[in-house]
Amino acid sequence: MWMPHNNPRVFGARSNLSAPTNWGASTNWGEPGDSGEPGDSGGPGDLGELDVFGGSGTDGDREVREFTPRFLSDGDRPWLRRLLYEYESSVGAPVHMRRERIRLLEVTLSVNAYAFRDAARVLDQLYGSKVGAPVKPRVARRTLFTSRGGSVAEARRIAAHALGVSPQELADSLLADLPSERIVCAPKSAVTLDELMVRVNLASIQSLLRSSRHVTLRVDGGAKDVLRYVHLVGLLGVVRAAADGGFVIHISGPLALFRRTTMYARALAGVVPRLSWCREFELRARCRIDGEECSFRVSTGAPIFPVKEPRRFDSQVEERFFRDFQKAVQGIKAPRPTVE
Amino acid sequence: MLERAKGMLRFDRGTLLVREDAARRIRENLGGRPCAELRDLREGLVWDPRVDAHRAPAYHFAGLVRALEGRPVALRDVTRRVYAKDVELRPYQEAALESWGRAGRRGVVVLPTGAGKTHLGLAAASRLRVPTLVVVPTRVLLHQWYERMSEMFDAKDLGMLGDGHRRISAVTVATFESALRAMPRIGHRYALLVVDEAHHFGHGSRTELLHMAIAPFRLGLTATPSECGDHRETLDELVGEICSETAIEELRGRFLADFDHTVSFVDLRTPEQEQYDRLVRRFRHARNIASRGERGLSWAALVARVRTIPGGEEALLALRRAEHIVSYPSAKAEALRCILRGTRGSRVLCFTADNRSAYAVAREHLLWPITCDIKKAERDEALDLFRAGKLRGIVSSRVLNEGYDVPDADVAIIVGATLGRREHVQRIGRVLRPSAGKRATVIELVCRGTMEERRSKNRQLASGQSKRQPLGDVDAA
Repeated sequence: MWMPHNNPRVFGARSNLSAPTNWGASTNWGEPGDSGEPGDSGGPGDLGELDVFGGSGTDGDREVREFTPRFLSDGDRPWLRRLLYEYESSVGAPVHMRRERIRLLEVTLSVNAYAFRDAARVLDQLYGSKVGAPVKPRVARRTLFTSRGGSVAEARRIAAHALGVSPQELADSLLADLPSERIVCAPKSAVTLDELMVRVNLASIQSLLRSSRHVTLRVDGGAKDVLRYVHLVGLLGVVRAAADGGFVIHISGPLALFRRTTMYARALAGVVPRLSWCREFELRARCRIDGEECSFRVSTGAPIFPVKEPRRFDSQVEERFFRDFQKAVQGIKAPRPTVE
Repeated sequence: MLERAKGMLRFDRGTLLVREDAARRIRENLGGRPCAELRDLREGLVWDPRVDAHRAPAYHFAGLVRALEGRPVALRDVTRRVYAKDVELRPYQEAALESWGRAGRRGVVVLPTGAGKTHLGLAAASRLRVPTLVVVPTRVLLHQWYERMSEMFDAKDLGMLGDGHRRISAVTVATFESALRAMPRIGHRYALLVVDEAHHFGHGSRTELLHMAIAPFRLGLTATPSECGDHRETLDELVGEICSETAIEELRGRFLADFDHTVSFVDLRTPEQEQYDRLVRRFRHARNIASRGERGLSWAALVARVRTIPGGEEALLALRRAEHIVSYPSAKAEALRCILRGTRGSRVLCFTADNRSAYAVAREHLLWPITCDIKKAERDEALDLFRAGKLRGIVSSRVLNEGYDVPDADVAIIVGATLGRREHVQRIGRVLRPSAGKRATVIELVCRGTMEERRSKNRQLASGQSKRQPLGDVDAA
């Protein structure tokens, strides 16, 4: 299993360094920096250093506007309730009708557009859809559009007869599998207003991270899942053991250096719900919003929706060992070792 | 590839790590002189404290080598060669390829749809005989390119990335999305990068795939170059400037099918017209407040401003509704019925402004819809049936605009359009693939006295149909 060292460790940027090539661009050289300090003549200063991490891998000295992310509060309940009602009442109707109603609602309610759209996006994911048609739509299309009839009405009648349904049922089935024509389904479990609020909060923090330049995470207690995730999805950064326990992880944001991929941004955003299971955490991010450089901070207790609880053990063997060990040392306190 | 560059540059996840002494030498060699490939050294080479090395985007490879070596990357520097059959080109294709060669094997070639862009791209790859990556926007094009490539290259050298295929080889074709994902791993393998439908680049995250490739030779292919200055500038930097441009007029009747172009005007019914006028008035009122008399605002800037004023969102919604009214009103439905009756026996492609109109046309006139909502297998089935003459026609809003090879289509009915000249040219191109004795027909339906009338006029002007030389008999009856 991958484990962070006490020494700072670069991850993400280490793979692919020895990929074979015909271009002569990947033969070995010593570790970067072996030939001298980068600040020596010819170093970064002379070449026009760009501020990648604010200079030192932290937020740096540059003045940036700091703001506190606005989490939904009780004041937002009325419009959230209204929105939730629209979704609940659209169950059984085609998706396009729901979309139209939500669009109208957005216009009539004077609320923060970003928050409204985040909430609608969250609810879109929760309320699924299904095809409701007497004939499989693709079969209906094939039969109808290839049927030979002198007129449109005749072609419809022939196709309906061939499929053993009425012309109206054929018309209902024809495009029933299109995303806009599917029928809205209720979620597996009813969505409460509180749950919706924390889900929207999570979505808004994640969308901020998608335009971040640099993210610093301080995690303590239950950090294993976060570290594992960061490594698994290939985020670029450095992890250090903090002096006061836990870890500090410096991660490049999607706007760092040249990479601005949506996939990377999505992977980075995936860190946030995992933080909720840490005993303590602090997330600081420097991002670019509407062209302005700014930073924000989120810490333990923030009302964000968590992922499901991470597994405590990597395998059944580990779990059994832990159980047996506890039995063997009954009376002796045996805390589970941390990942250091 | 270059002995002196060996060990100094290292490909790393779509970027190049530059060794300390190499970075120093680049600085010395530049000596303050501007370098064509490294337009901005500060942008091109930055210090990365995470790995204690200088880092540059991979597309600066040619520039970095030039700065290191004092000479541009040449064909002889590429050590890996690929066997390919010779390709014969038409005169205008030959001229385009020559222009591209003169431009340092970097640049965009503009050719109308059906004029053989794929053939030209393959010719470039077969003549250079270097490892080549072709990137295409759709899965349909992926298979079309692969099929053509298999006639020209050894099977062992062929690769395909996308639509479930993951074979990477010396000559590979990939969809934009698959290439974007794979580029951090394969960006250093190819000397030639062929970008099909290059106008898709210049904005958005896809452009990154061009950043992550070291390929010093780049060929962009398009029928409709981007009209936006920013996009064009980005494409100039990442692929090259337009090095050859051929218009439909130059090839019409000889290398492309000849065609008649007709604009048919229809009138909205009174209640529709009244509702349309009311909605447009509402939007115009908000627009006038938002623009504060300022002229020349871009559409995006104007919409952003309208959003900020009270009632702005309602005004934008009103505009959307007005657009919906003109996209497929009852008069167009009636006109379409008459046209379809008159073109019975022809292979008809019908284009609409949006999916909703496409589905309405499908229901009313029994044309098979091909939209983004219809899965690939069904699209293929519909096109096969269309080619076999078993369908009345096909209706689409955007999917058929580009990429699909429908050689048998001879009538294009444009019921609605939203995307301007580029879309218009692409749509006309769908029926221009030549065949013996073919004369295509393009019919445009326009609602009189609405925004469509102005848009149609702009399309004609921008694509040179009315100004330079009329494309056909423009009937304003």
